[in-house]
Amino acid sequence: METILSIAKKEVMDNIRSKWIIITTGIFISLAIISSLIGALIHESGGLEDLRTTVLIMMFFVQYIIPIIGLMLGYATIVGEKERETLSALISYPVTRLEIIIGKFLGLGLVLSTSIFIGFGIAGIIIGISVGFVDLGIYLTFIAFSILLGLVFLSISMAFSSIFKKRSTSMGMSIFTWSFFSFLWGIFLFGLIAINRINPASSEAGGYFLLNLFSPAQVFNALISLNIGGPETLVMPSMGMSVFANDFPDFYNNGVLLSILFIWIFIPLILSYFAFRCKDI
Amino acid sequence: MVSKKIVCPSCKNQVIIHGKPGEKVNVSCPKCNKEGTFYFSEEKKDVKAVKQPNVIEVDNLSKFYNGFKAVDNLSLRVKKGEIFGFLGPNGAGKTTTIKAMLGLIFSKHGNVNINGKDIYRYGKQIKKYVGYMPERVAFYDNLTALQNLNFYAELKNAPREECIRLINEFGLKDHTHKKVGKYSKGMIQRLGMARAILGKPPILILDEPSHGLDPRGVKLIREKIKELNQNGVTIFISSHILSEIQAVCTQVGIINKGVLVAQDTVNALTKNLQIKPKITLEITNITEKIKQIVHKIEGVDKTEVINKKLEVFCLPESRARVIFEVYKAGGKIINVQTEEASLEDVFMRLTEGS
Repeated sequence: METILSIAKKEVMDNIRSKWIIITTGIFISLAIISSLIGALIHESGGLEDLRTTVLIMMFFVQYIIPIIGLMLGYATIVGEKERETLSALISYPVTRLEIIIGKFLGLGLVLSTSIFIGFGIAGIIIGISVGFVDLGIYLTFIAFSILLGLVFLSISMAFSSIFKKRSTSMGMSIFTWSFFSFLWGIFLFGLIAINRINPASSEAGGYFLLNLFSPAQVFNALISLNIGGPETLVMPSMGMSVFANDFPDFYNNGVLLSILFIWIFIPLILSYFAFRCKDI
Repeated sequence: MVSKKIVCPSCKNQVIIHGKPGEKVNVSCPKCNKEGTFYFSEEKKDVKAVKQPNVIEVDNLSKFYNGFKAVDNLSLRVKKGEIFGFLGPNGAGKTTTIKAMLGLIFSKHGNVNINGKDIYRYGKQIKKYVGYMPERVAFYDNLTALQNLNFYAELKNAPREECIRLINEFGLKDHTHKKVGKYSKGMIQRLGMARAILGKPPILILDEPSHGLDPRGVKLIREKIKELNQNGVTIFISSHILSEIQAVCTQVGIINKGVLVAQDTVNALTKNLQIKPKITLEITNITEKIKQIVHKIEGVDKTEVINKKLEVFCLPESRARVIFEVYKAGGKIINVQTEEASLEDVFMRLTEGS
């Protein structure tokens, strides 16, 4: 356990010293404030919009930006250390490869969570001061879901980092993963619906809704719509089409949705360990 | 129980006493009542008979990379307290062997035991006793030297004070709080050596430790190696630089194209390969006759004349005779040079054609 914590601590220090944590926190603050201003523009109220509206606007940005940051944090963590030759020294120390994977995930996960928490937190305080802290609980829930989404992509990128022999391959796969879940999967589903002429609001669309859950970003969207937006929230699960949250089938509930995110965190981590366990360094 | 006949120092009376090895016995002489203590010494160990245990054992190790055999059925033994030089041309399989010894790479063929334990099964336990300096030393560039060493110290449960002490010892005191990313190659190499000996491991594995160092750095590391060895540390050094190995090593293993072609002491290797030391005489009036005379001396292997210099390959004990015979034959010797059999000759002989 001490070894795991030492490795996690080193990852955090490394990211503080490389100013990563500051850059990402800055991104999150600006994201929240810009979303709030956009909200105010839509409602023509001027000034910063309330937290609930801000959250729903932020959801659209967050589903694209948090995966990028999660992937960027993790894609080089093993393969990059291998290429820079720090990994051989690390493994020559009394450390198991499992401890390295867990330690790195904890450390990088902490970096990601902290920058999301602090970034959105600072923005939340600024918005709260100007419009009141009425929806604080909602905002915190949103932060928690965002962190989960980030951890999913961190875990995926760590798997790439363990599996591939080159940093560039791992980066390429991360970029592909991002585009796949951000829009390719949506385009594919949209194509399916268009070909089969299904009305997304009808009961025939169950299969489509199920397939939609393959994308962690869409699971995140559904979670926000269910818990924050309310039944009248307009969600855009895929390109060019829209659905209201009250059209969601029954299996779109917190239990199922959160389990999917947790599976997306654990499976890549396990893969990451098995790939790393027998890797020549 | 050991019995010992002792003589009283004052009255010369002989007494037989009994005791265990290592025991102190108070004796009083029955004749003159003089009192004294007798120490039964520990059983003397025959120095030659003491067999140091093997610290590193590699058995039939083979490693393939995409069909290329980097290491071919290699076996070697490193005994406790040795400085083992692992010598070979570039690409001979040195680093691959070392990586297998540390569990960095996996092979289906062969075993590696350190302190009698399999490296793959007891990796974490064994690595507490091993310090390693990789061929290409690297650190976390964003962290300072001290932060880097502190991290490794935590992994090895070494006290933090040791990090500062080592940084000072390796002449990096002024750069303790500098990011390693801003270090020069030589500084990184020194810090790499410091990292290897952090936590005082009894086994050290150094892969090309002098790589990229200036002469002062080379000397520092060489002295450090000798000092550590005097304190009982077993050291395994790989190098392609012969002088480096010859200067410090007691045992040498030579690897070529993945195969261990020899393992012995430097002396035994030169002897077995019949590589003889050389004496060179500069003679102003050198003649074919002198050469003939020298050639007939017992123990002389080969004689050559190059530029008024007579090169004689012979054992050291024949040198005086060579000089004497040349002098007797009227040769005017103006200079004499001797050259010991070198590892270089051994190396060249064993790795021919690579």
